[in-house]
Amino acid sequence: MWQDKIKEIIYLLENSTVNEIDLTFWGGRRFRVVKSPPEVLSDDLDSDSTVRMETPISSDISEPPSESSPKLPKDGIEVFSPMPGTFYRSPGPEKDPFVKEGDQVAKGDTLCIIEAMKIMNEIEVESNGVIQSILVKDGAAVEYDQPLFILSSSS
Amino acid sequence: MFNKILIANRGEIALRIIRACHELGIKTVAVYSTVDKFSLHVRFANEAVCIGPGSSSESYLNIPRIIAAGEITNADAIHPGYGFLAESADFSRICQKNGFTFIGPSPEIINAMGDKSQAKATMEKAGVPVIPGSDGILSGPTEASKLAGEMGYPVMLKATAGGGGRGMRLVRNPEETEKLFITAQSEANIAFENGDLYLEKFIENPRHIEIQIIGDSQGNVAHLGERECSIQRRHQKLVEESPSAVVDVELRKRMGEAAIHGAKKIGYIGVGTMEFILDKKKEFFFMEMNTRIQVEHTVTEMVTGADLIKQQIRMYAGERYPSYLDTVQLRGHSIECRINAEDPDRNFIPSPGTITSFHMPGGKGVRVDTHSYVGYEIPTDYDSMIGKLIVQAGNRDRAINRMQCALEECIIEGPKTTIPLHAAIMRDKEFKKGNFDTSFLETFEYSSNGTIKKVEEDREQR
Repeated sequence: MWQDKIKEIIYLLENSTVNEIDLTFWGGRRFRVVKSPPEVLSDDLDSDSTVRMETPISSDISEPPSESSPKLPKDGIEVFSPMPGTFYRSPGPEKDPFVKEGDQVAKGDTLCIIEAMKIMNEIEVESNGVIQSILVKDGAAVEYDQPLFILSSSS
Repeated sequence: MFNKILIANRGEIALRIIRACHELGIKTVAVYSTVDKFSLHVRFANEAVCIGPGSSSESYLNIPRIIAAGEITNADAIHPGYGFLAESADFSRICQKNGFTFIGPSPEIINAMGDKSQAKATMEKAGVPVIPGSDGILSGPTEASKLAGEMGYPVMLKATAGGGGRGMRLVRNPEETEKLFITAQSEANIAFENGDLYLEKFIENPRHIEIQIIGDSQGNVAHLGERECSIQRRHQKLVEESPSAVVDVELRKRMGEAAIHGAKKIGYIGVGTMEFILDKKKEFFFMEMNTRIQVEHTVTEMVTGADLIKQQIRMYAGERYPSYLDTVQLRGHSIECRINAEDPDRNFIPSPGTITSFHMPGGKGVRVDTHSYVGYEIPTDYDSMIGKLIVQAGNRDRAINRMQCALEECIIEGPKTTIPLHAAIMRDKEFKKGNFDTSFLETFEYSSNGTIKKVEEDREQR
């Protein structure tokens, strides 16, 4: 049953350099098995490196699983794709990317292009911030609601 | 043959199409809204692309997003299923324009049959009997009154852009004509952005009999017999069967040939359905044509042995349909019950929620087409269908008996379902005799303690 699966996963984690496995079972039961806990998620994490199992996040399958990445800082926000299409980092081939990691962006700045039906849709950021991570490779396919960037608020 | 098909739909029909594709060795792409993330069609397709939030206009009705999903997965064809964009000429055109084969007719054919008044005129020219009525669009209430006076009341005012029971007004007396014309027109303007109306003689309590046809790209058309679809509630079909209890070999031949004529006249390719109404004298009249696969295609599959989705896909890959369909015989009898998440005790109010127990029947002659499972949460954003229960047996009596037993075996807990209503229909004397028309369900009443009993109504009053 699922308990045996979890034990298998724990064994896998202990014997590899993988840090975290997030799994959802048929029917919606979801678990995240974390080796060394992420740095700033909460105050009562123990910092020793033995495998730690969190309580099920949600057995109510009506909730779509959250897509938070392990590196999400406390004040970090994700930018999600508003449509399916192809993700481009630059306005054109041979051109510089709109943004790089570490760049400061202001509300309304273009972060990337998502192309569909030969139309280049410029995706603008909704708030000021600093680009923390870029989650998608240039030219990759993306779907609606897929996280593209992580921003942390500038200060 | 296609390499990869994107299914621009959801629920049970998406799963049905995926199954047919997999049997044909075709890869599949599911598209889904965030609300359908745990839906079965997403699980069983080879690939899945999230295209938007729950609202249909931003997902299953959103052409650019669907095309984008096809582009990023390199699909070569798009199957629209039924409902949603299945009869959108724009979608057919845009798919073609972007290099996808649309598993459906050309935009011209969709438009020709989508305009109900034009469809009727076309069929009339092809020699298909049509309901007597106006010669095209009415110029105004005056013309409506004049024609109605000549034909005799009651008459039906119909929106040319409507269909499936929408945009219609029944006029029983000359005094009401002008008022109902105006309301019908403004309703049509709002609902369909087209206020054009035409007029038809109203045929009281007809039977709804439809003919399944299939056409290939070489101009061959065959018919696969009729489906009886008179058991409807507010123009929504609830129980369908094939063959019809009142259609004999000779009538089937005449209706089938009329349907073939009509389909050939417009150069129809793929699967389609000619809807007819049958009056008390067993005269049939063309009502409308559905240029897509239908929910109730299943009963035709049971009695003919054909796989209509596979054949549909093959037709759009330029193949010929199997020659046995030209002379197909209907074997045995099949009945389908559409099981919806609705509460029959509360006027069929939708009953969404999570399915906590789910057991569907099986065994000889029992088929279940469903996307539901234990733990599935029925979304509120779309139709309330849980699944289709289909039976087949040697004759109609045995099919009814089999359906009764199959319905008893169903266990669906969580939402309320229409199963009790189906069980009551199967027990009904008139239904068993095959003696019913589209007014049948109006004579059912539901008592508050959950039992469904039939109310004897004086039919002459209506």
